[in-house]
Order: sequence, then structure tokens, then C-alpha cells
Amino acid sequence: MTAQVRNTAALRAANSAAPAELRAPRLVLEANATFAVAWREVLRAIKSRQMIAINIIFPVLFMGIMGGMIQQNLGKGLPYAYLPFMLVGMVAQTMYQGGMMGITTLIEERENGFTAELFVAPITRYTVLLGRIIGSSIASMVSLVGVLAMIFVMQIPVNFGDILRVLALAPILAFAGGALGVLFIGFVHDPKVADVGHAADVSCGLVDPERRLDWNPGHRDQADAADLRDRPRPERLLHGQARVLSRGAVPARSGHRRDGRHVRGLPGRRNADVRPGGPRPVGRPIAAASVRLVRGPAMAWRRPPIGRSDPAYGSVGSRPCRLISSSSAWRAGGSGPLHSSASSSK
Amino acid sequence: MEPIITVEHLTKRYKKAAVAAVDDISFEVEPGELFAFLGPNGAGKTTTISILTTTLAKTSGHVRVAGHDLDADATGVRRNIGIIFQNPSVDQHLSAEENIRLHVGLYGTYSYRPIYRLMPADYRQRIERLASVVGLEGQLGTPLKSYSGGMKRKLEIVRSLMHRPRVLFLDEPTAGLDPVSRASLWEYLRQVREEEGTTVFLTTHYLDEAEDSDRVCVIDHGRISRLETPAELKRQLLERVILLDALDRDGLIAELRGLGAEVGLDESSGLLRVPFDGKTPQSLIARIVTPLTVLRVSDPSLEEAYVALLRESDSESEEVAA
Repeated sequence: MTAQVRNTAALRAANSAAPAELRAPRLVLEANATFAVAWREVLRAIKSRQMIAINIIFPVLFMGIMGGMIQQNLGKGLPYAYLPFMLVGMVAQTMYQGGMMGITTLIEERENGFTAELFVAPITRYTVLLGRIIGSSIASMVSLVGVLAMIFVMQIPVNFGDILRVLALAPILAFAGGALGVLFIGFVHDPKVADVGHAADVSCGLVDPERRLDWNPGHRDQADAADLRDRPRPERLLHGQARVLSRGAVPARSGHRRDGRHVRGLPGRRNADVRPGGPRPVGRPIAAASVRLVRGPAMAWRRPPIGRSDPAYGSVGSRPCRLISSSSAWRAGGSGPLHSSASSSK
Repeated sequence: MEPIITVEHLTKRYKKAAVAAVDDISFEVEPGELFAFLGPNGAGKTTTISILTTTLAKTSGHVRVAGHDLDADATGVRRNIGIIFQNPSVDQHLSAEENIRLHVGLYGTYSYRPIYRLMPADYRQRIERLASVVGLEGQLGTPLKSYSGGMKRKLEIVRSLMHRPRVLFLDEPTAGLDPVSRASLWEYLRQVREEEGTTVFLTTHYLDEAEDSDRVCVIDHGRISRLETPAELKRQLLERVILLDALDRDGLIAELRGLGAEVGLDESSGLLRVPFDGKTPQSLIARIVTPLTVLRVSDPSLEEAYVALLRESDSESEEVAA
């Protein structure tokens, strides 16, 4: 009885202290809710020690083991510096996947019932989605600690200004990831399936170079199976954009082709930076496609269909170099259907 | 006084479903009322509560909650309701206070700050006082992973009251709780009703929880079969009876008939059964001379009335089908 009297008194006191409902414009209320949802994502990230450990260790393993092996075993055959290439991809992918996971974790929360709390609140669904994308993007910055640490551990030659430029893309990367996440949760209702989806999402454009970044259906005759698989995946484009901004593995330069046509490229990081005396960078098609994305179709390089030669492309000295392809990049040194020349691009 | 919930001809038909989950139901709930919405599994309870809480679109009908039209102003409806779901809808990764802070941020009750100490003093006072009401004082900073089911329910009560809702929807709030937790939770809810005048819309399978409700609405096969006070429902469906027996059963039967009582045989217990509606059982018992071996006074519970109602409904459905 005494406890009940005490509780009743406390309840009365709580009511007397209760404030009037926050009388603010709708936009302010939505912004307040966005901040609340975003901060929840950050809190979840910093409270989970296991998640922090995984977020830091995963890039170390990925860059250190996988990237190191590829660089060591295949690097000499590559016409560009592989580790900077992969580093930029990791940074872009981390931000992209953060945005995506912010949305797809709704599937898990739908299972455990927490989405009900979000969706009965007097806010729009867009506020929930926006808050989650922003929050999970900030939370995914934790993963960048591991990625950036590898710059020092593996002595990867990058310019931090370049990395900052990639980070400037973070909102686009995060929102693109979030957009894919929204599409994803439309037809995936099982958290385990969502996890598999995340795992499958890692590879595209992160470790394998893009052959072509344009979506021109007229180029379909050049497409191989891997290209067709990757074609509709937005992260492929975003990785390319990030690499353009960071100049990572886009060693193309302005110059003239054999046909005399002047082509502008972007200043690139030469492979020689990591392997003194190595072949000069010839990753022109990657840069060309990226330039096309950035500056419009007028900057696109013309490429011949697979199986035909093009006099516009030559070779680096006596060494022929093939167009970098997701399916054929590793067959370096052979006489491929497309050849490019550093000298011709100067 | 205007009803706080008005439902008119509400219908919900799921795609590819042969029959409507909710079929043209209408009812009103008065402010401050404890309204029990009962029904067997699949009757349409959760569908109805989902529509009223704006989480499910209706097929047709008209709904007003707390003066806000569901179609025209769903946000206004949400702002005036609190919900305790069947399954706890809390974030296990956060502390209790962080869950509540997120809630007030979503509802715009207080401006959200990333740290508890930065939250307005009003917020801190209210949360601490409400926590003391439900017995969670000193445990708000504890991670929810260490909370029991009962503690999570108490947290949800605190959370649902933070924005001072006019209607509190409780969807089987005590499912999975032990008897002690159930009892204490209802004690707190009773206090909340007394102090805040909050209207409570309850669905439950524990019929004893609905005994204290102001009105009971029974839904079956998507239609409302009864809408009465608990006492009226019991009176309509069940008799109040005395169950008794004696070694000299024939003598007892003759004596009871001599006293003007209608004597029957209770099929379930095998005892003699004497209805006493309109009289007190004592008026009959005091006049019995035959030595009794068994004497029970049966005052039917809401659960018995509910079961009788559903059986009646099932038999009617079978007759229609036949």
C-alpha cells in the first residue's frame, strides 16, 4: 500500500513536470527525428566491440592478405599500381556498404519487431531511411580506421588529399548504397539472405578493374559474362568515380593518339611510383571511361569490338598491353584484341 | 463527450484472401475507458489494432482516433497514441534510457541530444520519476540485454507514456510474463489510468485481465459478435449455479424440488446443478436439511462466458455451412 502511494505520488510529480509537446515546425521535428535515428546507428556501432573489431580487422585481412598477394604475384603484369587501386576501392566500398547496411538491417529489425517502434512514430518513412543512411555512414567510418592504417603498414603510396577527395564522395556513395538497400528490402525478407547479399556485393569493382563504365547498349557486343553481371551494379560506377577523384590507378595522360586525335586524360599515379623501373602506366581505358562519366560522352575513347584490332591503339615499346578487363586483366602480356600505348597517349 | 476512437464500417481484405479479415465492424470507445478487444487467433484483432495504429491500410471504412481522421491526418493519430506491442520492440543494443531518448526524439517531445546529460532537465526529471513508478530507478543505464521480460515491459510502459498519449494500445502486453510480473504491470497500468485518464485499448488472451475492463468487444471471423460490459456478457451467456451432492441424492433432489428449485445434472462435474439467478445462494442453502457431501457456488468468469460465446458462434457457423 505504501509503495502504491509512493508510486502514485511519483506519477503525479512526473505529470506535473511534463513539458508541453514540442511545438516546432514540421521540418524541425523531422530533423530532430533524423538526428535521433542517425545517432542510434552510431551508438549501436560504438557499443558493439565485436563489430568494431571486425570492421577494423576485415580491411586489414582484405588489404593485407588479398591485396598483398595480388600485388606480389600479379603486380608486375599490371599496367597500374594495384594497392592504391584497391585502397580507393576499399574506401569507396566501405562508405557504400555502410549506406546499404543501414537500410538492409531493417530486415533484421523487422524480424525482432523494432521497426514497429520506428514506423508508428509521427514522422515520415523518408526520415527513418535518411537517418539510418546518415547514421550508418558515419558508423562505417570506423572501418576506415583499418583501411587507412594499411597505408602505413603496407607503405601504400597515396596522397591523403586524394583520400579526402574520395571521402567527399561519401554522401553519394552512402545514398547510392541506401538506394540499393531500399530496393533490396523490397524483395528480401530473410536476414540471412540479406547477409549473403552483402557478401556478394563486396567483389564488384573493388578488386577487379572495370573494363567499361558506360551503359551504352551499343557496346553490348563487347560484353562478356562478367561484364554483363557487373553492368547494372551501381557500386561499379561509384568505384570508378572514386578512383577518378583520387587518381588512384588512373594513369592516363593527355596526349595524341596515333590517328592524331588529341585526348585529355587525368593526371595519374604511375605504376613506377611503386615499382621503380617498371613499365609505364597504360591504364588508359579505365581512365577514359571514368572521364566519360565525369566530363560527358565527348571525352569517351573509342574502343573497337573484341576480336578486332584498332590502329588507334599500339603497344608500350615492344610490349603489347591489353585493355584492362574484369575477365581478362590477368592474362597480361599476351597480344590482346586491344592495345594501348603510354607513348601514344602523351 | 466525443468518443476518442470511432470506427465505422471498417473492412480489411487482404489480397488473394477469400474472406475479409475484418468485415464491416463499427464501435466507439469513450475517453478514459478500458476497452478490451477479444477474439480467438485469426479473428481480426491484430488487423484491427494495426489499422487503428496506422501500420496497416484499411480497405474501406472510416476511423477517427483522438479527433484525428486516419486518412487525412495519420501523423496526428500517431502523435496521440502510445503502443505496447505483443513482442517487445526495444533495441537490445542500447540502454533503457537510450531507447527512451530515441522515442522522445522520434515523437518530437524533446529535442534530441546525443548524451543523457545534455538532454533538457524536464526530460531527465520525467524519465526518473516514471522509472520510479515502474520500479526501474537506477537501472536506466543498464544494457537491455541484461533485462528480464518483465523489466522490458516496464520499460515499454515508461517509453509509451513519455509523450503523454491520449490512447494507449496494448497488444497482448503480458504475453510470456510470469504471474508476478503480470500482476505488477497491471497495477502500474491502473495507476496510469487513474492519474492520466489515458484510454486503454487492450487485446489479450488472458481473460482475467479483461474482467476489470469497462466494456468487452468480442470479434470472431472478422465480425463483432458481442459488445457489452463484462457483467452483462456473463449474465447473457452463463447461469450462476450452485453445485451440490449428498449421499442421499434422491432425497436431496426431492427436497430441492420441494423448495421450488430447478434441479439438473451438471455434465462436466456430475453434480446436481441449481441455478440461482435473481436470488442469493444463501437463501437456498440455508433451507436445505439433507446432509451435503459437496457444495460449490459457481459464479461464471469472463473466460467461461467467452468460451461459451465462441462455441455458440462455431455451432452457428457449422449450421450455416451445413
